Amino acid sequence: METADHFSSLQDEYREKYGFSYPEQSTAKTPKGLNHAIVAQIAEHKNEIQWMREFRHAALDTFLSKPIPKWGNQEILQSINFDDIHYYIKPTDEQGRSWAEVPQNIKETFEKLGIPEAERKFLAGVSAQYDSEVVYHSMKKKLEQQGVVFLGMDDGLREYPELVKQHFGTVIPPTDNKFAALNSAVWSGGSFVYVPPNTEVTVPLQAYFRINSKDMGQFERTLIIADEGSKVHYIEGCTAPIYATDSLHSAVVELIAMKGATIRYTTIQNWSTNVLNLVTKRAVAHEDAVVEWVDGNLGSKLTMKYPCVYLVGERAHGEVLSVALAGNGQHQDTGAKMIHAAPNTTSRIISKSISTGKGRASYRGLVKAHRGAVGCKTHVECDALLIDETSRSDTYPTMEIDERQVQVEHEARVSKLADDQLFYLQSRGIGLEQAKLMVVNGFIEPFVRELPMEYAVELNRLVALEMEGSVG
Amino acid sequence: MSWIPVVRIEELKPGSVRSVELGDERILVCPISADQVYAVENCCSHDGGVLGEGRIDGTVVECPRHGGRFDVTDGRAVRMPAVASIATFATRLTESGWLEIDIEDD
Amino acid sequence: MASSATRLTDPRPLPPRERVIQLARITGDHLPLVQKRLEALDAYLETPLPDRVKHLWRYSDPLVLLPQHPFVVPQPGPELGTINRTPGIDDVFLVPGMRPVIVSSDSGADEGMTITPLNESDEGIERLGRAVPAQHGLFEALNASIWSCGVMINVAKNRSPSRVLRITHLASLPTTGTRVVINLEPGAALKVIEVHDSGGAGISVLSVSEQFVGRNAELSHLLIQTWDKGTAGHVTSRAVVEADGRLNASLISLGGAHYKADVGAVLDGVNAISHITGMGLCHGRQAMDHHTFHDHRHPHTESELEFKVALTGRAKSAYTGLIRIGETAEKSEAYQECRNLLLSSRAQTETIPELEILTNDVRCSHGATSGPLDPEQLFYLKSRGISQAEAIALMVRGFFENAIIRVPRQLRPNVESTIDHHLSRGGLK
Repeated sequence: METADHFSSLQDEYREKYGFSYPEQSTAKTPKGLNHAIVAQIAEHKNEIQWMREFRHAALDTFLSKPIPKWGNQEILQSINFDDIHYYIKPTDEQGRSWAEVPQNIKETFEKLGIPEAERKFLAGVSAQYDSEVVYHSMKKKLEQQGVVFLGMDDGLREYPELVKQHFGTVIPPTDNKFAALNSAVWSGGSFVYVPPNTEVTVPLQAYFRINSKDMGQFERTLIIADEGSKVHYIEGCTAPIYATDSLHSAVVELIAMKGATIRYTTIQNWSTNVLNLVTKRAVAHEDAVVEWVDGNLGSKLTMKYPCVYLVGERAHGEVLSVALAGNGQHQDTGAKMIHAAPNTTSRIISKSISTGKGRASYRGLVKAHRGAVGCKTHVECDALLIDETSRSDTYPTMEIDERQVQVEHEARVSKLADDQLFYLQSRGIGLEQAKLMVVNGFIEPFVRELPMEYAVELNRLVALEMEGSVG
Repeated sequence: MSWIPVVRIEELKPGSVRSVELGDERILVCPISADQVYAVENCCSHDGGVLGEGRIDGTVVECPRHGGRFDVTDGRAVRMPAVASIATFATRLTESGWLEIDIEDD
Repeated sequence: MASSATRLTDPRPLPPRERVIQLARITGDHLPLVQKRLEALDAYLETPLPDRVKHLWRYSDPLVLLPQHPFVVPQPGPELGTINRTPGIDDVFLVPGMRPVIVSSDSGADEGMTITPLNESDEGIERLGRAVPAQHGLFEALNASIWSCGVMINVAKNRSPSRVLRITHLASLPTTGTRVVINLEPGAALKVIEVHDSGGAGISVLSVSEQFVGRNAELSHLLIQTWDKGTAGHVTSRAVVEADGRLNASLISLGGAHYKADVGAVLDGVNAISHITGMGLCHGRQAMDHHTFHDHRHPHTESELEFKVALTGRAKSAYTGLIRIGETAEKSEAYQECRNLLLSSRAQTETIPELEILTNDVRCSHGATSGPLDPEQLFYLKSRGISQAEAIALMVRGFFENAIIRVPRQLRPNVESTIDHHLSRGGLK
């Protein structure tokens, strides 16, 4: 197939697959703007228990008292109009209990998202989000038998109030930052996962998120608790239709890996280019625990996301593996944080970014070694690839070291597409565009190979589409 | 080690903290009750900023910036984003009505 | 504190503007300079305190570095005593409130170098603020309005004086404001050392040095800070390097209680090159905060930076190093390396090496490491009968080798003994 045809067919598929929007069918929607009355209304809709209502109101006060961060993309951050956003939309009255009960138009949404029929049946549990509420949820029998809890966050709160109360907001308190406070006040949807001790969840838990209302803000809240010696892999993928005005997405994800537990959290995000994606993701790793964030960021107008691991138990290990692709006019402000607060903890950050057109990719990271974290080791590697003359890459890593017996290493490289590689590929009869794509694919290969097959395929398609603008 | 008088006891109000500076040392004086006064480093282990005039609830002081919390009786971090302890100082009340703090000599 | 100063005059509570005019009258400034001072004062009064949230100030409190009473007009103090000439070296002493004291060999002028009090040099006044404008920041604006001793150095076209020029800034007043302008005409070369010395508790230094490296010129610039205990200060140094010009800068930071240095080069012409090597040795409760900046504005420019810090006691070091490659600086190369050596369990380091790359056809990388002395090397030295303390001192000296080697030959013994002195003050020798 000709390269150009190849790209245009992908583009059609893309529009078909992601670039659409059904009319809203909301039965409950709060007015635009944010105040205590709105927060009370959200809690009332959900018929929430008292402590969560108090938590929301306190968080709103925190949100209102905190200034917008003074770092990052000021132009965009300062332009957010918090009064022009709906903070809650409930799509249907009833929570879908089985596939048959899921409303038809939402089923169509899944069709468009391209979840194959077979996969739907096979998937361990699909927690698909349409606007602010979990509407469809299926749990595989095996998970139930294992005692694994995989619910929408709202259901989790209803069914496991004590467990949620014990952990909710402990990793990311509302006071942490303005957007965490915002999420804490108006959160809706997201996932709640509990894995019992010494239990291995062999199939990845998957959730599909989706924004589908004009000017709609989404504030998912996810809490994953992996009890001692357990193991779980959670995957979230995002696609979004294209809208005319900005859409704010501000999720909070808290992970708790108890002694000896392993959590891998994989994200492939492809927001439409009007979305502001301002996310707080943080994990706590206790003794001998392992937490891995695998994070792919595509699309959006501005993404600010720095997955973090607090290594609080001896020998805990944290890892962030991320790829950011900043297309024309996009700003991917992403990175990672590793906080070493116990002896012999280890961490690794591998960050790769690609900027095309007037895209800007910024790496922002923190490695901290507290006093007493003797024998801790950390290694950070940032690689940036600049495709066009107008592309931009920034690297802002911070290392705060309060302990002598540590090994801290940081490396960063910025380069353009290597001429010699392109020349070689062209000499083998490969067109320039295709050659560029091949080099880029090679660049992100260490990331892609960590993904489940279907995500790897999808990511490669998305990269090709993003590249089309710059190489076409 | 030396005991340094820092504040008159009658100036302290249980439940409300007070920051003092002794040379390079920034200290937060935390009166829990009329006869129980603790002193901790006035520096949040999360980002190095001052705990300042943060709230105190029982024996727990909360950092005004990101909400990290510390137990002032032993300096332990009790809520994220703070995870590392802060230093504590011994205190004593003198008969003449001063609160004294034990400062490590350079 | 200001009350301990002995050379203060005029206790009348005049507003800053009147004070600056009074200062200009005492130093005999010409009108263009008075205008520059007043413009800088306006900039100072309009500039808020640096925002601690922004990373350049995250680790230093500006209030600790700012003089308590910046607008006190200094009065000329006693003459300096006999000055010992060092062979091969021309000396300039900058004492706040005094005319610079120039101890120059006769050959200086023969070799094309002229040394002029800054406020008496039209060229100097014209260049003042071109590399470091008052808008650079609060400290630079304050310096530009109240500096009370400065020198202008010029090296004529294609001349390269064989002698080393040493400029000593003597921190002797609660507000020590000094200013240096160095201009290398095309094809010229110069070796210059700026020493920040003296000081004490209650003394704040505000100093700005601007260097202009003309086409095909080469400047070796060493900035060494050996303040006495208790001194606080902020030093800004910028070089503007034109086409085919070259800067070799080094930075040695040893003394004081609180030190913040902002050092950098603007690569302002094709093929301009800057190499910066820095070292800091901090002990006790010293706090040092270094910022370096390589600003690539033209194609085919090249920068290299190596920065090393060793810490003992409860010392703190912050280092932020920015490389910026602008949209018009294609085919440029930039490298940066930062290493921290932690010699005690209570020392703290903060390192932020930054890249801002705005065009694609470049080569750029940075690296940073933190850790203790290599235990195997230490063990090896001790197995050879060397005491623990001497072995550590040896290894620390080795760690700093690259910075020390940049010191001009005539001054190396002097610098080495100063470093040894600070090593022993840090309990490392």
